[in-house]
Amino acid sequence: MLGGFEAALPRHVRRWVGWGLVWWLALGTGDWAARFGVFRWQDQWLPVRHAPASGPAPAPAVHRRVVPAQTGAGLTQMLPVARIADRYAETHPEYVEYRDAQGYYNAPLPEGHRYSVVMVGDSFMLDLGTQNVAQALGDIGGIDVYNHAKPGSGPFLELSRFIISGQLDPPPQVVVWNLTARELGAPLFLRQPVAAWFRHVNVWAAHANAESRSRLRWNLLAPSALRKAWPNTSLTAYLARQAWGQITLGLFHAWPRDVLGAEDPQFGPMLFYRENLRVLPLLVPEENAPGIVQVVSKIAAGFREQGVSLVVLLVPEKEQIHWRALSPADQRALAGGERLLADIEQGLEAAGTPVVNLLPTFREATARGQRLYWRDDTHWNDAGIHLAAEKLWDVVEPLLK
Amino acid sequence: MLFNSYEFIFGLLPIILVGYFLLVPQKWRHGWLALCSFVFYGWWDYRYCALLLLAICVDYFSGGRIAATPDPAKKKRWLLLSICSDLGMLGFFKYYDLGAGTANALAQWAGAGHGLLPLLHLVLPVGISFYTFQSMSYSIDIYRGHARPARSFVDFACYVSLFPQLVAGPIVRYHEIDNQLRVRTHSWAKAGAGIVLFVLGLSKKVLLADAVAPMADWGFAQETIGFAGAWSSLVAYTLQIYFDFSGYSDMAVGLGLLLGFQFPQNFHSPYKSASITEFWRRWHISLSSWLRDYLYVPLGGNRRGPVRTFVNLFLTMLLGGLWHGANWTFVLWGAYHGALLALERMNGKRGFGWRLPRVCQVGGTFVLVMLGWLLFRAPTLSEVARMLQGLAGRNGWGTAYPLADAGSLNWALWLLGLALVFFARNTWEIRWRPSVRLALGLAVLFLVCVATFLVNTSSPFLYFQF
Repeated sequence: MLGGFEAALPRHVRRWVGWGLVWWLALGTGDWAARFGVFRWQDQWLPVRHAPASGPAPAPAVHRRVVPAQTGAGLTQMLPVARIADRYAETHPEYVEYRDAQGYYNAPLPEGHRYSVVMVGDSFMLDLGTQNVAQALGDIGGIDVYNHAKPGSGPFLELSRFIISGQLDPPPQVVVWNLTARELGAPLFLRQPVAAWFRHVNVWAAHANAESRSRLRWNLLAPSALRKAWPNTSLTAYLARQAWGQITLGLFHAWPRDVLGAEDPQFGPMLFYRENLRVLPLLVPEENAPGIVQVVSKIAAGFREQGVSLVVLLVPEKEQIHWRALSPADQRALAGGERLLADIEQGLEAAGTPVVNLLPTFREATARGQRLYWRDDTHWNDAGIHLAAEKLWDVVEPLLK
Repeated sequence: MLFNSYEFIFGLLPIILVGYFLLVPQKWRHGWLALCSFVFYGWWDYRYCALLLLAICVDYFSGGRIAATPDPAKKKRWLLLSICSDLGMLGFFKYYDLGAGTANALAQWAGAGHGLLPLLHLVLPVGISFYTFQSMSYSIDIYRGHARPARSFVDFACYVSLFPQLVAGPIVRYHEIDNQLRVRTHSWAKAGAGIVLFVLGLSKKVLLADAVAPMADWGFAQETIGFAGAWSSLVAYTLQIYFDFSGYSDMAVGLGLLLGFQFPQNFHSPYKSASITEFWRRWHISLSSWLRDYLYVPLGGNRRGPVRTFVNLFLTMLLGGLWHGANWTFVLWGAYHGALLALERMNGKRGFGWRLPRVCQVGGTFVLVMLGWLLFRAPTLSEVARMLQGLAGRNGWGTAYPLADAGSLNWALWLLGLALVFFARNTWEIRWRPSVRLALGLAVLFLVCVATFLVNTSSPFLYFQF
């Protein structure tokens, strides 16, 4: 085994091994430097502490910016091969984005106006076309609608923040709560401390305070956490994933883990978010609908006690509307989703909670040839936003009288 | 911790080498290696470090007493303590549930009630089969007079826990490494060879074994499988287990060389064997020689006539099979190989087709070994039967692993692997020379391996479970 190296000139061997070690150390050192410098891994376990403000913080002004028109969106950005991404990319028009003092997407309220409706939710409530659902609802009804939504917050974070904060005083007449299909798992709902929110106890803040008492988050430095964190904060891993994505998609036409391209027989090329294809089949109606109805009814009762009507907006996923583009296996796997939404709708209606299930409406509109979702994004477009606002207004309007 | 993991290659390994060569004084080097080895082992689950430490303490103490006492009866008692402690630990963690489950099933069958013994569902400590065998070899070697007792507890702890071979071998017997623990040289030549072996071993694991693994998994997951799918999947598993395990062994030997140790060769192109007897001289050499020296020979070996030789061979392989896992399929696998070895012994240690050209003998042996791997891979006998139906063509030609979604890359690597095992020289046979071409080739291979395991996240070695 050693023969070849023992027979070679010692200085050759020394240089050979030296260069090998330099290569390995350079790769490792560069990667560690990027971890701390670019990915800022240390911020995960050594949270940055902001100095407490010395006086009352000045209320930031309402922020207005013009978001320029762009081609491509979330899903095309996940595709590592430009020529394939181009096939799905479409132009998203320019729009004006407003943010209020709390960071929510709201234009300034004209003098003397008050919000009669608050919309709580996640990314489906954002500016995804030229306006968001709250603005569309406001335009349709001629009312002022406050948009209390932030991206990636899931179904409960914004709702609980809204209930706890008491920031809108006097309270609105109606709260619209957006529940997206992929989030309809009963275990998540049953874990929520609903009663505490209505007592204005901020369990999130209590949890965050408990965590921040310890300077270091030791749990994130355990071997099991490091095993996950290191490859996710590695420049080598990032470049490797990009390169591998290009090879597999470009050469073998294998779609990345999170994106799937397909051909809708009616609308042509469409991108789908694969995570939805993994999650939605797990949401069995029998196991999830009763728990969700139970928790949502409890929340609706909490609002009712304060004189507020809760309207639940059930939002289908793109995969459930453009199901014809998917493989037969995926179509079969998604079949239960329609019944889950219908069961929740029925359960809530029986409990006296107003509900809007967009799935049948969206399917009908799509069958008529109306495209309600972007090709290159998992969210709805202007047409989808407008249709959702119209259906919502049908239910909200009587509650405002 | 796995060798093909970020935390090892860019975390612990540089720390070990910098500490070993630059920071720690020479007299503390074994202590440093032992400490780092415990970190390496405890990274998986720190609680099982206690077991490793217990094995080290008991065997170090027993070995010392065996060497110190002149009384043969006392020597034997200390040896028994060491063996019982190691086998007891291994037996409890590895075989308790199998034994309890079997006893319960038998009791139920005999009408004596059910659930007599509780199932503990113990998690098998990683590498316990390897380090108990290594540790046990210390007291046996001293008892036989083949080795001197270790100079210090730290030296012995370093031997048993040495991270390159701790969790999946090669099983280094104490007398093979005794002198290296006392005096060993570090050289650039050793480091160079170590780098070559490590990178090639990493490539075998990451680029070949992991690439064919989905093909094997696909076949064994099918409800009904046809002829093409069954054979291609079985070949994939045959390649996977070889490249996985021999890749690990190469990495272990390479890391040993970086630290100045020379571990024995564990694989020598086993699929080029013309008989099962030859296969066991080439496959997992450190285990087969351990079983030969510490089990087959004490049972009487071939000294008590042909019938006893056949029985000893069969029993050795049966226990060797059981060593691989707590499942009756492993016992059957051992029995299968034991029976084949006994039959070949009757045939004068020749393969069954010894009159045929060597290429036919190699092909025949490969098929026999593959059928053995079927028992090894399938979790239940019903799955074995299901695959056998496919292999026999009872379900028609059927379909094989799909080409879609980069499946063609898996197939290409399947073919490459097959060509390598039959036609290429193995990593130990090639006389590597420090050239620019070799350096560039290894640099690219290393980068591709790192990129691949980072993309696929970590994938454990098959032999960790044994």
